[in-house]
Amino acid sequence: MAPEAPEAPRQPPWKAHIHRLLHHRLFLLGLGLFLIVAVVALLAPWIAPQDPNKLAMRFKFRPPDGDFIFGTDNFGRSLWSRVVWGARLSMFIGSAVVLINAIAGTAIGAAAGYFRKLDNVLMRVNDALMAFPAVLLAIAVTAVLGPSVNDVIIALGIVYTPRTARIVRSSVIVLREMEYVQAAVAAGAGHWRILRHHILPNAMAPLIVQLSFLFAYAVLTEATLSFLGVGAVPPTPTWGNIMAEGRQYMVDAPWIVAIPGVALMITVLGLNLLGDGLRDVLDPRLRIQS
Amino acid sequence: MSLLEVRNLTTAFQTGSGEIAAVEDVAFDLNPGEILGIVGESGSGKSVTALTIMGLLPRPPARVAAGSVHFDGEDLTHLSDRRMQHIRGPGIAMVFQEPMTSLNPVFTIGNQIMETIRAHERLPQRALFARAVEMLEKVGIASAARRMADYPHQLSGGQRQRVMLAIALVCRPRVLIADEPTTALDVTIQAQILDLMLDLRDEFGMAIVLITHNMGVIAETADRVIVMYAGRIVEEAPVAALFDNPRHPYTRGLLECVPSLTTERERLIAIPGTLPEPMRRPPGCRFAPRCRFAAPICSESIPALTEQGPGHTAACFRIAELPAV
Amino acid sequence: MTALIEAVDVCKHYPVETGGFLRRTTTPLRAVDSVSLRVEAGETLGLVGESGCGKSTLGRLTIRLLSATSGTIRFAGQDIGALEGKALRAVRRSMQIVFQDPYGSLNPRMTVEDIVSEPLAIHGEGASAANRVADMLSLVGLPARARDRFPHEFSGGQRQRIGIARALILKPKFVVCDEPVSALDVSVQAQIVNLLQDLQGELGLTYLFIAHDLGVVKHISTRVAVMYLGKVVEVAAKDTLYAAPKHPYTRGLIASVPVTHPSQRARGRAERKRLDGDIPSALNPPSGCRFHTRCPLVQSICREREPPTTEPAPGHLVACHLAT
Repeated sequence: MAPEAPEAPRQPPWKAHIHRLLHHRLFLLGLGLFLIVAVVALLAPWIAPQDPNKLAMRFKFRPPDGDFIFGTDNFGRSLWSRVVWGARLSMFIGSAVVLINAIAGTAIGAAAGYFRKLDNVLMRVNDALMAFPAVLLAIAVTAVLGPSVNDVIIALGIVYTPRTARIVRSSVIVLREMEYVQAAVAAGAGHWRILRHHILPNAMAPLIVQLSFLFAYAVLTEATLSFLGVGAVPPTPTWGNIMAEGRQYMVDAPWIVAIPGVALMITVLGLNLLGDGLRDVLDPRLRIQS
Repeated sequence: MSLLEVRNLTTAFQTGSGEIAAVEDVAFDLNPGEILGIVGESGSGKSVTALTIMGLLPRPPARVAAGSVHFDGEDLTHLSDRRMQHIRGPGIAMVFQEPMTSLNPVFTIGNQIMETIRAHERLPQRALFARAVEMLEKVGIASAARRMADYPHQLSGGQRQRVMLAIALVCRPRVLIADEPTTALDVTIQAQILDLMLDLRDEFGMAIVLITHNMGVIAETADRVIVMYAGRIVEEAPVAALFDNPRHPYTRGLLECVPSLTTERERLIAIPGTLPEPMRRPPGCRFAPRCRFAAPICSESIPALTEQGPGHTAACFRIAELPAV
Repeated sequence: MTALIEAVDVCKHYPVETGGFLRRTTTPLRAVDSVSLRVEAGETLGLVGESGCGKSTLGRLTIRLLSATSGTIRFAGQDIGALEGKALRAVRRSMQIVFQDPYGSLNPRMTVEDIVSEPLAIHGEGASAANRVADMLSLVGLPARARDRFPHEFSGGQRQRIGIARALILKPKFVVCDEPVSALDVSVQAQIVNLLQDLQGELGLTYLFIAHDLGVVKHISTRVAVMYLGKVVEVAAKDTLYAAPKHPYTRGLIASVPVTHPSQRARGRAERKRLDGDIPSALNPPSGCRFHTRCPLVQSICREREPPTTEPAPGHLVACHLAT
């Protein structure tokens, strides 16, 4: 009287997700846009060998042409080099912020969601931080720390970690009550084992979705900070710095603002499409039942 | 003349891996005032049959691939949405399993009952209110006039199911389709709701299609029974004949495998195996892989319903060889 | 007979915030209110009652999946309420649970082998896992090739077998079965009931079998306890309880079970002492006997005084002023 065994071949749940992602057109478009920016950033030393900070006043305000494919700025620096190296910085800052968030947000969110006694304290601090507008808080933190790339990363980490923590916490609260967690408790499992084996792996899907959007926010906020003059100090080639400097010459040399602007737009659009695709596939609450 | 005539109904769903028929070749009649029980487990197609009749399946992905549903001389499968809205309510009404999600949480129950009347009749507010209160009293809600202002969350599960019945019956439908109306309820509340449905049938004279997985609910209420398995009807009989002389091995299995208060057995007689998923239904008789009487022919072609007695049909190649019950 | 599990005056209260926006008060929800119950070694004690009666909470209290607000729970004579750390983990080996929901009770990201062997890993016996998982899978009727598959590839009944394998791999003495078949299709329920019975015989298990289906409980139990609104109202040997129930609630419950043949219907309708009214809220339980709002035999004393538990016949416990 042995019951029928399933006929389907062994298939871990993530394989089905990958299959669906590979059939999600907007996700693929987003991934493509993001990968273009990422590859350009990685290859910067080879594809833009010219020093992005090298002044050459005789070439200033050259519109895009055969010699300078993105033209030059008010100091005659190659805009191609500056934008490509800017991409490198944006990617670096975005990745670092995402990494900080993934670690700190998960730790804080998991602690708050799993240990009820910590919840109140952690979440009130979290709420207080979330009550500030992101850019204002980031300006305040950089004002204290000083304007360098590393300080911008720390500032953005502090600004966005509470949001990630809140998302992780809400998943953990749901998962904590799942019966398979109860079963592990009944078998004698300790907190660490339950978090590592049962709760965190199942909390990953909304976290990954959140982190892809967060990457976009980090890139955007970093550009805003640079533009406002409180990010990495000029002449560091960040997109925000390039746009801030080009702003005065917008009428005569519109490409100085437009090109980093388009680069920023492509990056953020790509990440948002990527995040939407991930959410469609990974977050079952929004998935359309077929 | 029968009230509802379902003929060769096949409802299919478009899925990522092709079209799947959830209900195949289903046919039955519903007579005025009778209670027709439809028994089946998950994937049997019993709920899809009900939703097809009501025109409540989203199209796409659902599609009536074949057959017809005649009500009052009209084929419901070909009606416009507008015409169908006029049938739902005064013609055919439905109650669902989950009384919490079937009621709108932001409106009072009085409001929801009156809204149902208003959709079909023009009445002054005072008359609307009186009709709604009268209906609530009929479904056994105490101090009904006061409860009109309650919101669904203020009611217990049993009371919510009573309110659902009030909403369904307020336009005096000629057919009530009840899809697992007591499955979410406790056994003492289930008994109350079943008694109430019988009383309301006697009072309003509507016919009821009662969909359930519970043979006990059938034994309590139905006049006639259809047994469905994996999208097809396997047996149809008057209720006494079905319980006295079940012909299909699946029906026999269903009657045997559930321990009742009168069962005295060391071990239960289990049906082996599991229900086939809609996309992995076996060829031939759908029940063959789990049937202890299966022969080679059973997995080759689909058996047709054959006459077993007055109003009693069953779809099994092996009926002649089955041992007596 | 010896009691494997003995609960004495056990309460589980949850603080619930009630009242409006400004006037918040905390009312205790008495999910389990001063319950005493014994589970004898080797028996199956059925625990029945309607939703919200506290049967599931009581089940979890007996294996310390929840901590009691007050009262004592002894496992083989040992008070498990005070245990911590290693001692608690040691006693957990002997007490396991099978859940109702075959979907929510298995971690979707673990293979069957990981799920079934996890209790071994927790108790430092991972080395012998491979063989023991194989034995366990065959014992619960799953093919060996199930081991490296994921839960979503199985049907409800098969998932329940996986959950049973996980519960039994540590060779526990006591297993709480919390509605183990009520989420399954009826044609599959009997398989799981038979499996639980077979395993009990083979492994010498003691069950607390929680269910709302009186037919299943009658089939599998040695004795049956009936709960209503956090209280155990009646306990008796199975045959006594179904044939001669003494508490009016037990009688009403049995009378509400649908008939098994349409020929019993007319009689059922006429004779059914159906229970009127709804189950009151556990937040605001009725005074005196909690059943008095629905009791067909209610007297004035029932509204005023809580009935004591008496033993009108040996082994037959009932909490009703009118039971003799």
